[in-house]
Amino acid sequence: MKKESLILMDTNICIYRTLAYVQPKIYRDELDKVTNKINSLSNNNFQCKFVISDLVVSELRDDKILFWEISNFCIARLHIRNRYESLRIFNEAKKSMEKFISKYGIENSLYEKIKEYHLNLDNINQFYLKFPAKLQNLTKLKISNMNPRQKQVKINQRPNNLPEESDRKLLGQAIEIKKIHHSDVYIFSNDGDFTEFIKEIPTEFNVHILNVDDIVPSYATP
Amino acid sequence: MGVNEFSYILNKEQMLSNFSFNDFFSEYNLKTIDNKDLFLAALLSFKKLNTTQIHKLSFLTFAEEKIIIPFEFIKMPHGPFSKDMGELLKDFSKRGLITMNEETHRDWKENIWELSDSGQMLVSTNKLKIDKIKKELEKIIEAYGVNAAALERYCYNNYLLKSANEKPQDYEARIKTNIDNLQIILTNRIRDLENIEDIDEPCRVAILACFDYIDNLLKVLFSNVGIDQVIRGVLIKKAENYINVWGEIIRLANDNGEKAKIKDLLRDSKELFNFINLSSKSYGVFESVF
Repeated sequence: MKKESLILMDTNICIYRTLAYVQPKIYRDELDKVTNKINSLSNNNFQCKFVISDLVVSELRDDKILFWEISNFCIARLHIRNRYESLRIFNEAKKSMEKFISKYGIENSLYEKIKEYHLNLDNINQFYLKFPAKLQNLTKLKISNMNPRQKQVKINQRPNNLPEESDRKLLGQAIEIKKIHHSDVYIFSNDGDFTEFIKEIPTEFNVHILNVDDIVPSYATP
Repeated sequence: MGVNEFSYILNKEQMLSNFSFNDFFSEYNLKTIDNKDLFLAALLSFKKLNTTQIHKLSFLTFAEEKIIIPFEFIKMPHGPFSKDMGELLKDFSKRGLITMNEETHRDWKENIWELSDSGQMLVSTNKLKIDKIKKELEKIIEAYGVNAAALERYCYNNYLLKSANEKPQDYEARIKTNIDNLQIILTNRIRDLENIEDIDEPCRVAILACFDYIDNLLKVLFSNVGIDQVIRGVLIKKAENYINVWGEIIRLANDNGEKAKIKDLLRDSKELFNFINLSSKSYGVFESVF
């Protein structure tokens, strides 16, 4: 990984980072991995810059979306028995989310430079549509634990099995940032819409994908 | 990334999906009176009151108006009683803010408490704050009066307290039947909510999580390990109110009822849920999600 890379954090990563600090502590590997990655990549050796895009900020500040993500995490990952626990975790996360946003939220100066990111959406759609089988599997996987009603909502959000619009927009922003940033640009995500294209996205758009499970190298490359 | 759109395309008019997530679930700011001195001064500024009246009116401020006050209540022979209030009356006496007169009736005596000149001074120097508290107390006095016996009877009946002539096992059976019935109704509410099509999924899941909280709380109240009768009764009644409010919301949603009415009921449900959470936690009965 190159020194001074810019890393855009996806919503799920921001939520993991916040959940890592919820009390009583939630013991999940992915939460610790996210925290460790942010710490080690922003140290003096790597000097990476972590950024939360305005798109992600608006999702994190939307209680409905934040609750939904946390509730799904509680059920799918924590296998919580008492469903009300998700309310407590949501309220805890909400309290600490603002601090996290104020530390890593995108600066206006950068946002102004990437405002035209939506112009990349056509290219992004065309790119994804080259992988219909992969996309179909991803949709299948995403809806596998959902009830019929939830499945319908998810399917509506993924026309032709394309990733949700907000994901495609985030990739559009990363492409714009790459045009002006002197070092590498990453999207840090745990979402299959990115992590299943860990080789293809960099080849097509020169934007890298950082996965929760990726091993951070010992030294940054210049 | 998360989910952006949760709305469904339905042919029929949509009711519950018209409301935001925060209309269904968010922390509700309960009214709070945190100054003990001003609360007692405000109460006694209405009129002279006996000990029973003071304790019962304070209790109803908490239990009926859902106002968080700095007094905890336990069950005593005459119903809800606050040790904190007992201490405060003594303290007020010592500080010369109130006077106590013993009135003798045919076969019993009562302590009548009255603000002294210093007490009246406390009221006039804190007029704005006192007036605010009095506004809340007026609602209680208007609704329940000040008759000590009637107040005591109301507390016993409405908050399921054990009367002197009721056997402990009968009281326990009565409470458990009550909780059993509430759990049956709650199960029906869960089924009804799961069957409503016209509601955003995150809102439905949040409310089902609230129902799950109420269900778990009822289980704790059923087991009754060291829970005082007063808070047990309050929590059962408020859980009942919450379940009923949700019954009404679901009924109105199914009948395409008035949107404003549903909005009011959703606010009531949040207020009740917050009150139940806060009271459960402060009395050490159950955890809070807030």
